Amino acid sequence: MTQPRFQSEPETMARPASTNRAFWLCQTLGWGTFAVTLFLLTLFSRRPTDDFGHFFLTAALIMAISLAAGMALSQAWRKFIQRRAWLVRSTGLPVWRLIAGIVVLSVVQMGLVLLGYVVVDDFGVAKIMDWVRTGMPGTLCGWLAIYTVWTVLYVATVSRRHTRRMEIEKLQMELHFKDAELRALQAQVNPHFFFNSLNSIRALIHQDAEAASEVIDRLASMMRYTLQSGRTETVPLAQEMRAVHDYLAIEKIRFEDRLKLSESIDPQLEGMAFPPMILQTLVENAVKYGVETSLEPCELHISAQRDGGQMKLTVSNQGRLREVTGSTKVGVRNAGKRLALLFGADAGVDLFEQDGWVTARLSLPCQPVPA
Amino acid sequence: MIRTLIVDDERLARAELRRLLAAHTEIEIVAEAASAAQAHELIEQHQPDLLLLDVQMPGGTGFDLLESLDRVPPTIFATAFDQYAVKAFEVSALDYLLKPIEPRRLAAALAKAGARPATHERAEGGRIFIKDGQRCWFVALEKIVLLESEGNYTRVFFDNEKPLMLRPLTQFEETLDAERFTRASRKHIVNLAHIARMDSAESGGLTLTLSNGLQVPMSRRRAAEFKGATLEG
Repeated sequence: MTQPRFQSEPETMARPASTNRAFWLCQTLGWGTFAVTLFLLTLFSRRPTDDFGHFFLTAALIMAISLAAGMALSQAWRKFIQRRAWLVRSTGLPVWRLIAGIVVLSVVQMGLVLLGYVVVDDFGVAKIMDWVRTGMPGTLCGWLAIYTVWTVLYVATVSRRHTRRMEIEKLQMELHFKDAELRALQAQVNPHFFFNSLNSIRALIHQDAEAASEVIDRLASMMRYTLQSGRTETVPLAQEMRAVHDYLAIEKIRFEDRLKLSESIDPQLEGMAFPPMILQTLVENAVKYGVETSLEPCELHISAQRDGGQMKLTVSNQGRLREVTGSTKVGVRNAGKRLALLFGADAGVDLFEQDGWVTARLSLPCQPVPA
Repeated sequence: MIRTLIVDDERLARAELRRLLAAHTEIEIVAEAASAAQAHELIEQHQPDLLLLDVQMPGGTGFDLLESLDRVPPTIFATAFDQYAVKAFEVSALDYLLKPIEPRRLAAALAKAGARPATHERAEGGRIFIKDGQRCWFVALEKIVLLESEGNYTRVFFDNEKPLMLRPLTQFEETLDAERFTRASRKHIVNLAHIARMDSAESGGLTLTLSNGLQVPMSRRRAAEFKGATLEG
């Protein structure tokens, strides 16, 4: 019944500098405010008989000792909690250990301050015994309260930060899986296309052996590209275009005059980074819903143009946008999801019908392929 | 000779089928169609004994074509890859081939389809093709118990199924054999062979109890005609 426990890295490692700065700011401000308040309160409690100069000096020194001891002890306490990873365990907070720690801290703090009195204020044994009887319980309670507040604040802050970080990690993990899943989906060979192509090739072997061998080359090249596309995030646009041309050459053999092609590609875009199989998917969709369902010859147009820092690609086919089947949009939707994962809000796909043409339009940032 | 019609939207695919069929001397290719609409016309014209039919075509699938026919010739489907089609084939009893077609598989399918001379089947009974959603059936007419009108649609009762067809009841009345089917009411056509009981109804008509347990009313006028017809016969 042992559950795999999430092994989180120790708190001390890989912590951003900003977190550390925030801690020291809070630490200094908190203890500083506390010390100044206590110092002022002590001054007000001066009896008229006390010599002012001596009293002031004593109070200032005691405050300095309290402050130094407080900051040193709480810092040691923080390191201790971090090393033991008390706040990042999946088993919950070790409450009793925290309470024991608070008690130990308060006693040590009180001891240090008492030591300060002995040194600064010439506390004799009699005076110490007197203080233990009258002043100690109140003082101890005070320190207990202060260390409790410190610990509660610290635990709450760290726990919240830890929870948030876990959530972010989880989201990143999900994103990663989603990306892999989408890529795997688009790297699939469309079996309908594949078997129809084989059928065309077999017919061609008997009619035009030369053409048959060319189709086999195209098919091999396209299949290789498709199967490899899951491995890289981006390829040069020219490479994607090559696969699209292979694909269309094969479909042209199948559909003959039913498929008409035109293209306008800005040659400057050929070296830009493009997520593989996205354009290919849109072209396949256009053939499937445009050419394959049309009795008349169907024209297909592909364009890629630069628009400022963006590149805009469109795949259009003559025909109508079908609302009945949800499957029309699966390819487009998946392409959109992949673009969003890669480029965030800077990229997107949409599908629309205008003047007898169905167009899938995608835009993404113009970036050269990373070396 | 088995008079055969090839239906496929791709010229190369038709050429390939023609080439494969050349080895079968009993097959005579009477025509080729590139769409469902063209095929419909050619079927009416040639009354082929066998249909070699692609599923995915522009302007109407192979299923649409079969559904539009009053009498369906023996059909062998040929498709590249279409999981829905394959599922539909499982429901129906006819053969289907996957492209590229293996010559051996084609020979087996032809043997199955050509085993019975198709002309006899047409005279005897015939079948209709029904597609409802993703399911398809080739139903022998003698299995049909009842046809019930639902607006422009007709529900067909046979075995334990009752799929809906996009075809008005009146169209069935025109094509079905009057010797075997009768219009019982505005909403129903029943198969005479499936009438299990007839009882007089209060309205003066009849109540027909069918072999599947369903009861259908028959109006007085139709009952009178029916009695007359059966007495004469």
